[in-house]
Amino acid sequence: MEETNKVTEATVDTAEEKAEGKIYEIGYHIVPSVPEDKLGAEVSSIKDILEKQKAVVVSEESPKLRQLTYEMRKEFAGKYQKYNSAYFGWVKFEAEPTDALKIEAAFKKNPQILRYLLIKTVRENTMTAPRIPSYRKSEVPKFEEKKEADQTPKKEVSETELDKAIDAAIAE
Amino acid sequence: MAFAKKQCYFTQNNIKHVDYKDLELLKKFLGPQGNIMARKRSGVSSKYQRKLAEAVKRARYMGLLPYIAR
Repeated sequence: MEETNKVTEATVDTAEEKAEGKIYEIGYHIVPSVPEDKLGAEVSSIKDILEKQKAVVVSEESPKLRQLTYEMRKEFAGKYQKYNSAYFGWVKFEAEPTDALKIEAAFKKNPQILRYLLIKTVRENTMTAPRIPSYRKSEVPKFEEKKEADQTPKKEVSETELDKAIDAAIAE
Repeated sequence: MAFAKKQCYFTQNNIKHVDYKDLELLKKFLGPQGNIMARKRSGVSSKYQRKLAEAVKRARYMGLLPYIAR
């Protein structure tokens, strides 16, 4: 299913995006057996892959170790290795569709990359900032209006009713 | 009426693209077992439900969200 996804995204053409190349994002997991101090070398090898295809980096996040939600496995020297954590990072870049496919092929070959995902995206930041809860505009003034509306008729009623009440009290 | 009509979260908050890495956002639309909530339940418009579903499935593939949470 993933395979078909990638192919359709890479082949879809829109005139608007053709003018300035295409924006792709590749997310990847680096195998956790790479020690932390050698992670920099891995990152630079990924950068080399992108540079080779003349991709322009838009934004990126360096890989950080995180737990995976399920066990993944990758064949390594004829044996399956199981992983429960990996270094997850991503790079957003601009490239031609044919170059993007070459980049994808290079990621597939890399033995240190547990899993990757190439998607088509947009230049702007797609992550949402944490939001402050906001009230609907219509709710706040409504509440105040109600208060005023409640007070005015009460006043009128109280004056006449007071007289009546006094009269009634005297008559008794 | 079991479900009160709600406005779509994405149109309300002016979110145009759903990122698969945005886990805090995606988790709002997941059930306790990690299933994608029905539109009837979350009130998301069909346009964004499709984008949301794709983002959740990408996040699952990348091991960021579970296929099944127990």
